[in-house]
Parts: sequence; structure tokens; C-alpha cells
Amino acid sequence: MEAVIVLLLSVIALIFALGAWITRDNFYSALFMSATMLAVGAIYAFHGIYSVFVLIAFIFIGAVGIVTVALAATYRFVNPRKVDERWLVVGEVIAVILAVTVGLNTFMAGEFSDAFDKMLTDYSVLVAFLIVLTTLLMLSAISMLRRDSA
Amino acid sequence: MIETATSIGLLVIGYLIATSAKDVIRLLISLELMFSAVFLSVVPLFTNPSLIAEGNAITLITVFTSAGELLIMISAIIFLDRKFRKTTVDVITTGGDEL
Repeated sequence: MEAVIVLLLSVIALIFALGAWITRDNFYSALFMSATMLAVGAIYAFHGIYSVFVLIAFIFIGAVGIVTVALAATYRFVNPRKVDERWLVVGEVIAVILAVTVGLNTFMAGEFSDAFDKMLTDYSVLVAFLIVLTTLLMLSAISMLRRDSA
Repeated sequence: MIETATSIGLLVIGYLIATSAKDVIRLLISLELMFSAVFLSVVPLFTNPSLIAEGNAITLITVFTSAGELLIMISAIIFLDRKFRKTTVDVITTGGDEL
């Protein structure tokens, strides 16, 4: 049953990723990309690794994903495609062969557990880390803006 | 195994979007898809009890690093538009070779 749900979530993620590639509108592509990341986060949540799910949901979908969607809505181009669609079939066949090979040679145990507390006993460290990173990025952006306008 | 297969599938689709991209917004989207593939590839680490701490550390560093890279790329896109008034990457006219 668990494998079926993971398989379902994986298929959903791949379908949305394909949607991001097939659609020619940047805005829809960004929306499909966000849905893909949501499905990836759902796989983590299903396995009970909630800390990573929170990181993906808040940082990737909440922050970066929303900015990407807004950016794609601003620069909403309809792009012609340069690559033949047959390459997708070839690429996916190679991907499946690689995935089966790697999967068969990877050790997999049945137990999933979240041991985040063993590494970081306090989530405040994580929050402090995020605030420091954001401040650094903001300072860099302000510095570039000032230099650009000068 | 399912996660690994999905990870490789997402990576391939990300590469396809990157190769067919005609503007930097698409490149950003393809990068984010590739990063989601990286996250999925870390899942098997959590199945081995002796590697869970390493899995957490790798995921934490990956999430913050990739988020930082993407934010820098978003800033770069905005500056590109301000400087050249376009975000397309059909022809490189400044720096590099003309393709």
C-alpha cells in the first residue's frame, strides 16, 4: 500500500514536470513546477520526514516558488521549442534504465524515521540560519541596486 | 527505488527544459526541477538508520544552498532585464560568442 502511494505521488510529480516542459507559457510552466515540488514534498511527508517537508514547503514552494511564479507571470512569454519531442522519449527510456540499475544496486531498508532532533536539538538554530542567509542576500541585493543606480 | 527513478526522471525533464529554453525564466524553472530531483535522491539515506543524521545534514545544506542559488539567479534575471531590456537568450550579443 505504501509503495502504491509513493508510486502515485511520483507519477504525479513526473506528470507535472512534463507539463512544465510541454506548456509554452512561462506562467503555467512555473505553476506546474510548483506542483511538482509539492508532490516531492508530499513524498517526504508520507515517509514521516516532516522536517524536510517543512523546509521544502516553506523555502522552496513558499519563498522561491512563489517568486518564480510571480517572475514568470511578469515575463510571460510563449516560447517556441528548439528540441524535437522525440528526444523526450529517448531521454525517459534512458532515465528508466538508469533508475532501475541504480535502484537495484541501492540498499533499501523499510524503516523511515525523522532523526532531525539528533542533529539539531533546537529549531531556533535553523531559524537563525535562515535569517542570516536572508539578511546576507538582502544586503547583496541592496549593494547591487545602489551600485546600479549610481 | 521509486524515489530514485522519479529523481532521475525529474532530472532528465529538467535537462530537457534547460536545453529547449529560450529565455532565462525557463532556465530558472528547469533549475528548480533539478533541485527537486536532488531532494528526492536523498530519500534513500533516511532508510538506513546509521545514515539518518547524515541525510538530515545533507538535505539541510542542500535546501539552503539551492535556495540561495535560486534567489541569486532571480536577482540576476532582474538585473539582466534592467540592463538589456530582455530576458531571452537566443543570441548572446554581449560577452561570450555569438551563436
